[in-house]
Amino acid sequence: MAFKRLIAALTVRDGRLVKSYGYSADRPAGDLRTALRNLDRWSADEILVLDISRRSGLDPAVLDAIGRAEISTPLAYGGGIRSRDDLLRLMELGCDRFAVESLLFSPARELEQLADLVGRQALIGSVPLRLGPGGEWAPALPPSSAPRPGPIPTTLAATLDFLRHSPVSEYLLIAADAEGRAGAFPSGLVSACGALPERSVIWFGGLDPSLAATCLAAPVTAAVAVGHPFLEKELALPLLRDALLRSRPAAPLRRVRTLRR
Amino acid sequence: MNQPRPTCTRCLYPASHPFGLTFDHAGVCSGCRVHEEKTTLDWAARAARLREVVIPAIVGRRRGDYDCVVPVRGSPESFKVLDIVINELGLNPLVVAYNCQFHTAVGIANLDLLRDLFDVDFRLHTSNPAIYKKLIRESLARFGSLRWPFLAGETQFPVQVAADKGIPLVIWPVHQPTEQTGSHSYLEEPEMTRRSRHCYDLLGWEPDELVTTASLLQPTDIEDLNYPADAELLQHGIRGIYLSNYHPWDTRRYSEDMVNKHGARCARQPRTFDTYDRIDDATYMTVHDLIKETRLGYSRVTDHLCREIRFGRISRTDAAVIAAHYSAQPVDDAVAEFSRWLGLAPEGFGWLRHKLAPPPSVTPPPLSTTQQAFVDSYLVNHGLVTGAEPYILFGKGLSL
Repeated sequence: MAFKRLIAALTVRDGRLVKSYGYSADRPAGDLRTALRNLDRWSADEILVLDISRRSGLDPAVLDAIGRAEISTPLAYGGGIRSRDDLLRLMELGCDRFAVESLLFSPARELEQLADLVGRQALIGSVPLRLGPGGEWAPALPPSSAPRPGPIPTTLAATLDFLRHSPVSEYLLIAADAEGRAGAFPSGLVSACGALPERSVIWFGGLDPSLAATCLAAPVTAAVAVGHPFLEKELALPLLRDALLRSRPAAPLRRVRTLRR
Repeated sequence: MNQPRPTCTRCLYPASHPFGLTFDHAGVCSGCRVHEEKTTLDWAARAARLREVVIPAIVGRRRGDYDCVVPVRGSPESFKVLDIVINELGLNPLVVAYNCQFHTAVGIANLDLLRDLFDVDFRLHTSNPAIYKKLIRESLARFGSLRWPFLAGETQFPVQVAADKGIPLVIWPVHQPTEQTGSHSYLEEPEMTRRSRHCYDLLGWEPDELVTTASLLQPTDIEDLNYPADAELLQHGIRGIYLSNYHPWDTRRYSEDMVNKHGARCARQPRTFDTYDRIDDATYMTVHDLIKETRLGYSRVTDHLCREIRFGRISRTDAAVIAAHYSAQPVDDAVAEFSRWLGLAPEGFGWLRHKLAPPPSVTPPPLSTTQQAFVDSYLVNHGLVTGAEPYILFGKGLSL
C-alpha cells in the first residue's frame, strides 16, 4: 500500500520560528532547532520548513538551525530558493526536497535546470490561494524581492493547468487566509482542484483532524501539512496520526509503533 | 537581511527577549497584542471552557483518587491556583513543590499556610543538596544560569509524580512565553510540552548534556531532572494545562486578592517593587537577577513593569524610570552569601558576570512622587527579602 503523508510544517521569518496567521501577522514560536528535533522524535512523515520572509536567497540563521538539528526525518525546504547554488547548499544540510514559488512562475528555463540537477521528484510547486470577491479561487502571490518576469495565472483553472506543465512532482496548495486558524481550511478547495493528478497535492492552511481526514480521502491528495497544532500540545502529531488512522474510512497513513524518548 | 531589533513601542521589552518577540506595523510586540485578549475575550465563557477541558480528563477517577497534580511555590499566586482548583473546580489535587533550596522565611510561611488552609496532601521534593550544588556550579559556568537546575526540576517533578501515580492532569498557573511574549493566543489553549520546557525553561539544553568528563557530573546526578518518556505520558493520557488560558491572569490582582482573602504573605525585595513574585527564593531577585540583567540586558523588574503597563496601571515613561531605578540596586550582601554557599571566592562572582558581559555601573535614578506612589501601592505584610540571610532548606529549623 502506498501511504499518504502527514507533514509537519514550520514557518520562519527573519531567521526565527514563528506561528504565522494568514502570512500577515505572526507570533514567536521558540527555537527552530528544538522544534525540528521534536517533530523528528514524533516521527513525522516529512517536515516542511517554509521561510516566509520574502527575502531573496537563503537565511544563514535558518540554515544553521537546520544543520544543528541533525534530524533523520525527510526534510523539505521552501523560501528564498533562487539558484542552483541554493539547492546545493540545502542538499548539503540534508534537505531532501525543495518548495519553489517565485521560480515556478519564471519564464526562463531556471526551474527546468534545477529539475535536471535534483530531479522532479525533489521539487514542489508552492502556490498560496485566496478566494476573490467573486467567490473564485486565485493564486495570491505576495510581493517578492525576486523578479517575476513571466505572466502569472489569474484563475484557479489556469493555475492548475500551469502546474500540470511545471517540472515539479507535487503541488503545495496553501489556503492562505485559513493559515494559522485550525478548522478554517475551505474543504471546497479540494474538489475545485480535482483536475490535478492523483496523489499530487499537499494541502496546507487551517487543517484540523476532521478536515485533514477529508483531504486525505481525496484521490488528488498526497499529503496534508499541519503547523500550529504541533507547537501547542504535547504529542500532537502522534495523536493526530492515531486519530486519522482510527477515522472511518481510515486514512492511508503509515503506522508508527513506538515513540522514541 | 534581517530587520533591526527594536523595542516595543508600548511596553519595555526589547526584541532580544530570549523567548522571541515579533512586532506589528505599529511597533507593538506580540506580547502586548496577545495581552489585549485579557480585555476582549469572554472570560466567563473561558471559565466554562475550563470545566469542559478538565472534566473529560478526570472522568473515571474514583472517590479519593487525586484528580490532578498542582505545582506550587511559596508565593501568593499559588493560593490563587488552589483557590480555583479546589473552590471553583471542586478537584482533589496532589500539591507538589520542587525545593529551590534557597527558601526564604516568607516563602516557607506561605507554603505552611497554603497546606493548612486548603487542607491538601503536599509533597516536597528535595534533590540531594550536594548534587544540586554541583548542578548549579555547572549551569552557571555553562550557560550563565543558577536557576537552570531548579527550572529543570520544577518542570519535571510534577509530571513525574503524575506519571508515577497515573494522575492524568497537571495544572499550572501560566505559560510564561504566552504571558510575556505572546507566543500563543489564549484561544489556542497551549499546553505543557516537552518542547516548550526544552526551549524556554531549559534554554535549549537537556540534562544529559551536562554529563561530561569535564563537569564531574554522573548520569545518576541528573535523574531528578529527566522528563518522563513519551510512552509514560501516553499511557496515562497526561496533559498539563495553564489556568491563564481560562482566566484573565493578573498576578498582581490575584496575589492581592489572596493576601486579603487568605492572609498570604508578601514582602519587599531589593531589585523590584513587586512584593508578590518569587519572594520564596532568596536568590531570585538578588543574585539571579544580577545575572539575568547581565545576560539579557534587562532584569525581572522589567517583566513586572511590562505587565503593569499592559494592564494600564503605569505609563511607559514612568515604568522606564522605575526599571532604571531598580536595575541599579546593588545586592552585595546577597552575592556574598551566595558565593559562600557555593564555595566561590568573592571575586569569582564578579568574574562570572564579566564573562557574560561587562555589567554597567549605574547610579539609581530617584523616583518621582507618582512613581513612588505606584511602588508603595504594593501590599507588604512581611519583612524584607534581602537574599543575605542563610538559605532555608527544609523550613523546619534544619539546615545543611
